[in-house]
Amino acid sequence: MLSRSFISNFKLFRNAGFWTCFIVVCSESLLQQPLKKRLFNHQVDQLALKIATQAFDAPVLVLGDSVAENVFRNAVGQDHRFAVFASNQAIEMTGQYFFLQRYLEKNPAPGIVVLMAGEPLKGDLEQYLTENYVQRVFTRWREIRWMAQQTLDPVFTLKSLAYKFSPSFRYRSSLSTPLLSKPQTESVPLAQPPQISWSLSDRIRNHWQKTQGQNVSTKAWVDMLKITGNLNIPLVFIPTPTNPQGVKQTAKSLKEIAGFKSGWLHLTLWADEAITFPFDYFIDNTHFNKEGYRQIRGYQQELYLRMLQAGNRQEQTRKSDSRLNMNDLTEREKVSLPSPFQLKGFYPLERRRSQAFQWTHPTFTIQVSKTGLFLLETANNSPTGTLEVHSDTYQQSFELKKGTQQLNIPVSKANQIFTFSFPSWSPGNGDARELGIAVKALGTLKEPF
Amino acid sequence: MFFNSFQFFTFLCFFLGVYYLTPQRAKSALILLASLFFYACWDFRFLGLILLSTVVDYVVGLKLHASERPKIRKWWVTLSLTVNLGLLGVFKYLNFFIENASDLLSRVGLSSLDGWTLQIVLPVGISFYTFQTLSYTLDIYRKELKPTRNFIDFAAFVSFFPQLVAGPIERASHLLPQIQSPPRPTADQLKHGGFLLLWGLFEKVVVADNLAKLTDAGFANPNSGLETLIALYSFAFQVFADFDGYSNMARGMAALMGFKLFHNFNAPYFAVNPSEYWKRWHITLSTWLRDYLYIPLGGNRKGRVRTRINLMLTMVLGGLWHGAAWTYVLWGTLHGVLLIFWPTKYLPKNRYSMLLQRLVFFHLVCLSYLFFRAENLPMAMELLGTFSTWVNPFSPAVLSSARWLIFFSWPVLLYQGIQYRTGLIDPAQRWPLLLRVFFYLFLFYAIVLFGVSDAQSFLYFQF
Repeated sequence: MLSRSFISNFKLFRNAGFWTCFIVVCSESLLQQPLKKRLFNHQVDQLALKIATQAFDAPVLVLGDSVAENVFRNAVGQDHRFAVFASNQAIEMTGQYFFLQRYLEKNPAPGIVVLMAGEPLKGDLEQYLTENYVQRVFTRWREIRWMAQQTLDPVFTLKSLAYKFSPSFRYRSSLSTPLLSKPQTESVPLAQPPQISWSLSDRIRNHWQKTQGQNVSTKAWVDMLKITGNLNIPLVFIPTPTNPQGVKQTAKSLKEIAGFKSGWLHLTLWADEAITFPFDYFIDNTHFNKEGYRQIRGYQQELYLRMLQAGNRQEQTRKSDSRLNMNDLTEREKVSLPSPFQLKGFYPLERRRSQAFQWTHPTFTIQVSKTGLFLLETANNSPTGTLEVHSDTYQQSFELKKGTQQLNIPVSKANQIFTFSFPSWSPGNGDARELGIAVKALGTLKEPF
Repeated sequence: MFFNSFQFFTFLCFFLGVYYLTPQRAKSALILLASLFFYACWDFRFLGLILLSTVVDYVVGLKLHASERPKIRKWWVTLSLTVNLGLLGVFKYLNFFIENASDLLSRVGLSSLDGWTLQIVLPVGISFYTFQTLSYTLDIYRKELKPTRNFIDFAAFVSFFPQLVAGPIERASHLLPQIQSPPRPTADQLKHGGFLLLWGLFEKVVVADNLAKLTDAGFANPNSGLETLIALYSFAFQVFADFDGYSNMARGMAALMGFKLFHNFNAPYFAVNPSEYWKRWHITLSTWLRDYLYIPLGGNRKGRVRTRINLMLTMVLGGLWHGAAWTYVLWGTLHGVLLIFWPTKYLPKNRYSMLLQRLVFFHLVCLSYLFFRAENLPMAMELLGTFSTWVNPFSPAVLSSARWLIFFSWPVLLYQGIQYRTGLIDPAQRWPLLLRVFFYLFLFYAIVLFGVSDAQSFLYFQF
């Protein structure tokens, strides 16, 4: 026990800075919940609250920018079969990815995820509005960690932490507005010519980002593809409608997104070229005006029906034919549930660091009962080397790299048997088994649409 | 990397962590490294300039000390002046002189010098560190200071990052000994440093950056005399809070390292006459100009007329130091006129008279800001012209602007008043515990709620 005299003599308790910090920490902790419930700054806040407080079971999940929000708000109305979380381009792909994660965390997987965006792969979380739209709103540990890993910027992370721990900082705009209104004068900012940054820190960061190859939005996009792929949810990309001037940009975006199609078979593009409307449909060359909305009603209706059909169909298919990990597969066999696979040449199920997988013999076979796509995902600890696959109508070899990898194999007829061959090896240390690869998951997927 | 940015906060935390762990003998090297990194974060191309200035003054300092022959000493000091003022001249004033010469030539019918101007970026803080290194050389020349033989110590003195880009302009006799044997920070210094950082940040991001919106709007669309007046009041508090905020943060950082820097402001808007004002406003610049320009010119020792000429010359050059534009020359001239003609001797000293003098002088200072802030002379004239037009003082626009002005300016005005009354630079340090806690909480939450977070540049960085 500390004696009273010790406490009163302790200089810290006579320090105004200490008491200020103490009061700030206490008040910020107390304010976390009440402020979260009452204060919202903009639409992204409201969408985050909507995900947190409402339950959804919609066949169609819509993500996208402000044009998408405009288009879908009118098209979908209050239809509960659509969960619309389109908001603003400023949230970049990172915000879309976080919305998807948050949605899937609480709700059943939708039949399809639709993303409508103008420049989906643009953005490195460095835009002026990013702070307000992404950093300030997405403050879960997982999200802060993800952004920290992608940006590799301690300053950015520090700011994210400030938003996490200080609700008054996070909701400062809502808190200060009642006390203050801006002066009723306008200033015209002078146009600044673009300047080259000669700052050492900027140069180092730019160089580092160049060596990384992909920007943050692209990384978020790839993670989004992974999530939807793992859950067997088709991901549909639609470019935002634009005026004739925006055709070039849209074509570029479409080309970029189409580049991912070969690696991710659940990705579909619902347009091969830009969807254009006349200039006078737009209020600011980007968003539709009243007349524009009236004119695009046909396009909205068409989109509405197409999304609904695709969502419903895919949801039904997924419920009967979902992606299985090795653990599920073994459990299914135990309770005699019909499985789309017949396996030969597999060792029993093992676990390592909470990952379930099965080792194979150097040669193993898998019989797939349904046509479409057959997915094989290797485990983290699977060895590198060449995996040969052949069946009566198919032959292919895959170079297995380190880490988990997904192989997509087309199944052209029911009950097709695939034979896999991998160079034999033995783990040693008393384990004399002859092994092939480690399989983490098997799955089937119908060619979407 | 502005002081009011998260980048700088991260840099400072990292630096202080390493600094406290570094052995005493290596601290100046660490300060130098950190300072060069800090400067390179602005623009690494200008590292060469600061290093050139440092090397020249280091060598000149040693040579001056080694020689007793006046001719040789004069030669060395001329070299230092040429290099330092030459750099300042090229980077800050060359285009100004070319443009004006060109204008003059074309007026007398000769070919103009269009196309002779250079694409030059003004190196951040050049006016500050040039004056600092010059004071070192001039002090050695006057045999008031012994040069240091340690180049690292000297380079750390020139580039000391807390005050590198906007002062306070330090003297070698004050800062160099601290760098040579870095003092350990005391508990009081740490507390004081923390307070200065908080107060400086408040002045910058809450007061200055918010008032900047009002000032910018007022100067961009001058409509009426009343609105111009509000914009001038706004700029008066903006420029004070901006520069005092920077100086306080610089002093705070230095205190966290155990250093003491000069203070730059002491309730300037409570001055009753120009002479008192210049003892309270940008003190390190005005004392520099006094010691290295006004006194060498003869000061007040050569008769009344020469004194007035010297005063005017000092103020005009002081104005020009702020920037290469006629508006700054006019600002300096106006202050020179005030210094020369202010009838201090003839004004009564009673309470009400002093209050009136204070008010009148404050408004004259605000009037001088019209030239200081205006982008060019025509704009300054346009702003002056608005005083012939007056609008309804109760119009929503005026009331809204006035409310904004009062909301953001009262804390600095009140604190200046307390400084003036108590005669203390940091009176908050003497307040009782409970009052200090409330004050710190007020500052913290004002920064959180009203602080402009997009790291606006400090006004004095452009000078």
